[in-house]
Amino acid sequence: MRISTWRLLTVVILGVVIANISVFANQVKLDVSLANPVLVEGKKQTTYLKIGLTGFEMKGDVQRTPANVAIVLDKSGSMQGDKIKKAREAALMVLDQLNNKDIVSVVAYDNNVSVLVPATKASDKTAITAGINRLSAGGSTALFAGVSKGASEVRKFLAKNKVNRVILLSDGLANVGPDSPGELASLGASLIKEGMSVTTIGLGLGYNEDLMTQLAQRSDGNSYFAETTKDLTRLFKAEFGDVLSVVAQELVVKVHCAKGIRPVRVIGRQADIAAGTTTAFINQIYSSQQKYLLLEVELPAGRKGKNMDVAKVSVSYANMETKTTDTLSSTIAARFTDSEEKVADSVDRDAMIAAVTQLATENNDLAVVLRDKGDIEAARKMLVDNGKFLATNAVILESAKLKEYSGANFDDAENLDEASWGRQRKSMRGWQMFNSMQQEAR
Amino acid sequence: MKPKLFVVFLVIVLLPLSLLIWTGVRLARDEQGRLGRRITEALEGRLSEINDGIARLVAGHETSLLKATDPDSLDAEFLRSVMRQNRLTRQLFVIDSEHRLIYPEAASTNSLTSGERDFLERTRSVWVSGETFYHQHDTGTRSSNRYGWHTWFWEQGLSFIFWQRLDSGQVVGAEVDRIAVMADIVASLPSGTRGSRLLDGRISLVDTSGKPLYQWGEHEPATGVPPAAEVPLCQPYSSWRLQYFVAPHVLQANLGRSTSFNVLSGLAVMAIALIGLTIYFYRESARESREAVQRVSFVNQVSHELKTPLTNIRMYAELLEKRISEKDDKAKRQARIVAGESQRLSRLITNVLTFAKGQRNGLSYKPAPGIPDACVTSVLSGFQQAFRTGHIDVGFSRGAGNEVLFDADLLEQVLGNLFSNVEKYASGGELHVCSSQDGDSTTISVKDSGPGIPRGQRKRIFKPFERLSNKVTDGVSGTGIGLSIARDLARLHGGDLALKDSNRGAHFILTLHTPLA
Repeated sequence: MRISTWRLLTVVILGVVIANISVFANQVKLDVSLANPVLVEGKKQTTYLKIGLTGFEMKGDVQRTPANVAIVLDKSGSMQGDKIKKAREAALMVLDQLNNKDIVSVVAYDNNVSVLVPATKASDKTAITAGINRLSAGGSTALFAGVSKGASEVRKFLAKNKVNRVILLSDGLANVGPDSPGELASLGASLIKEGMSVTTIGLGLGYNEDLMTQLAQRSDGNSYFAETTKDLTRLFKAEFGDVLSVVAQELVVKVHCAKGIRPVRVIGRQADIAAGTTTAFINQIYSSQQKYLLLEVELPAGRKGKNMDVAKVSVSYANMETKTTDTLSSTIAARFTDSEEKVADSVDRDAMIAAVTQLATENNDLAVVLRDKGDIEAARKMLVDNGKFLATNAVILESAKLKEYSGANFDDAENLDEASWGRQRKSMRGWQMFNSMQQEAR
Repeated sequence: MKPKLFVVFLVIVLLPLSLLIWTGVRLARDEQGRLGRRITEALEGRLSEINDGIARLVAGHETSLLKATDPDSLDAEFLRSVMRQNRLTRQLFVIDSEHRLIYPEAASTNSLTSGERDFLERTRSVWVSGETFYHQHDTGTRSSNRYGWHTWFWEQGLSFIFWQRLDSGQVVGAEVDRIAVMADIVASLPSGTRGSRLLDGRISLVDTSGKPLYQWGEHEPATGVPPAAEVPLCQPYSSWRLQYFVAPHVLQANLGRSTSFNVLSGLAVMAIALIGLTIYFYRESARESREAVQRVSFVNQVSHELKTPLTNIRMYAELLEKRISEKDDKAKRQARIVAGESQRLSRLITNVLTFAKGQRNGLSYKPAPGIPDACVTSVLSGFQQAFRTGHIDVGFSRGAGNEVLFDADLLEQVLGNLFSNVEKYASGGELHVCSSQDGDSTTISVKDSGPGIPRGQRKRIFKPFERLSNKVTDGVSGTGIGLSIARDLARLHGGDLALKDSNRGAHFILTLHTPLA
């Protein structure tokens, strides 16, 4: 593996211990690293702690975790025509990929909510197809109720050993019931407590991206932005690739900082920091995919040549292959030197790329806030600086991903005018979501 | 239609009809109110059923919250893990037996998660108010009350705290996740799946500000229309309400068909019946008056036909009387009777013709110079034989001897009518005629000593076909037009015929406009 190889080449060796490795069963791989494993001595400083979790490879369909999915479709007036047709096709395509171990329900909403297909085994395909084909558009948008109903359909067969998910497809805004991004975020936060994620797919340019991304983000689901109906099938496929390849669920990541080390903040994800302990949740990890938690830590002044314990990381999760609850743990330490060169040489490329990505994402988010306030100039400056920051690091870290994101930031800076803002904002929110949640597909 | 008939029509149709409409409308309104209340009750019943379902859900929530607020440990880490698993709890808190908030502890903000810090900020008003959750409810017989709800307003709306007192004296509370509760309630409510029967209604769950949180039913109520029924949600969410909107045509169908329609159709039938009845009566009366007119014209024609032969009979009877010698007393008297009766018949015919003419507004008078007294004397002499037979003493005080302009025929007819009444009713009494002249007017008073006219009926005697019926008049024949014609003629002549009050008998005063010749 490239990461390990790269790390071996570095001078300093990190104390990475992966505990509880079962020889026989597949395990999620826990990877803890510091962006700066070697630091300059004699001063208080901050660096970034990356806790990476990589899903193992799922072997064939036999072992696949059964899915329990509610497809929630917006059938408000604006969905008329091609959109509703594509939505139907996408839903049918989802159905096609499910087998008789899976459970599916279809909910459609306008100003009312109708459960087209109550939660049922995916084997009953004729009835489900009939339910989906019944869908036609008209009316306004009771998004909150739609998701609530979808969640209640999933809840009927809620099980730890299933992938429990609500997939929301909407082109509109919520206008009946709770409709603020904050309220929908709360809904997402309450659903993830049950192990349920909401994936949102925004169609066209009319939807409220803050609402859609927050609902997804807080429930650890994915969020997509389909500008045209052409993208829809692709996104549904990507989402379903995800859903069907979940290898671990309900991951609880705890980072216990060593004495003297202060956890500053978690960038990108939701996490609780209290009295030196950081707790974060990840609802699921997909096959061969890495998700990570990035924690900014403040280290006290250290002495040259000495090691300093930074943190102990423990992870518990439901292993979807073995159907057991597994735990992983690891510790990490930092070293100090008087040579700036050594510090630069020792940088953990992978962790640093993650840190740069999250910081740039934060800045990108700030730019949206500025633009929302109408301060186009400040937003543009923020984005250009961000682009430069990313470009610089892309060169140092030799990262194509950072280079791409740099380009995206420059692109954002060019599209802050009224005409393109609506579209651009959605694109930016998409990137932010993608970066902070480490989504597979965009 | 004549004005009088019109009034009659108004009275017999419109009055009862409007009365009926009034009572009908009142009845309908009462009935409508009653039905409306019944419908509202039925709708409220439906909402209450839904509310019961929500109450069961809330009871389930309480069970879950009771468990969450009775944790195995009060350690902050443990409480956090409870919160992470219980989707209804947004934040837990612990108050010790000295009423101090010990978790999340405001003093040590460094050891708090951002969620805990937000919670303290959100609930500041609760702590400032000194709320301790337990004492407030722990009064009197309710000391067994170990748990309860507390609600407060925060900027995002109503927030709910569920608290439980533990045996240790500590109170553990949970800020309930409003959104999670809402999502649960929404999920428990019916959806618009096909086959749901709420085709013409809409049930809405609305929040404190009346904004719908969830709704189902096909009917889309117009904005501003109040709900047909409303029920507050069960505790502690009683500031949220369930509202039932019903399509107007459904309400109409339930309310209108039974009462309004019945009342209206009843009224319509009633009105048709009344109008029909009126038309019937109107046609009847029109037919009668037409027949009367025909009768009068028939009589008129007959009278005309009779007049000529009668004139001849009278003339020859009088000639015959003169030619019969004084010796043949019997024959002479018989001839006189023939002449007298033909005179009476002639008066009758004249009356009939005059009446018929009056009906056609064709009366006129032709004044000519003459002496009224002479005319009176002439008429009296015509009645001489009749008065003698009826043993009526006649006295005449003359006072109108000047020559004036008047219609002698008219005067004769009036007096003839008056005297013929005297002849009929005052037999065995006396008649006193008195005439006078004053400037342009001549007055003739005719007073008899008959039974007179009862006070109450004095106005009626001048109307045509009015014949007073009592024991005196019974058995006396007459046409009933005499006095009517007499007065019409007197008025035609610029005067009047009036009945004067008198102690005994009838006393008529006839005045005529008689300018000097």
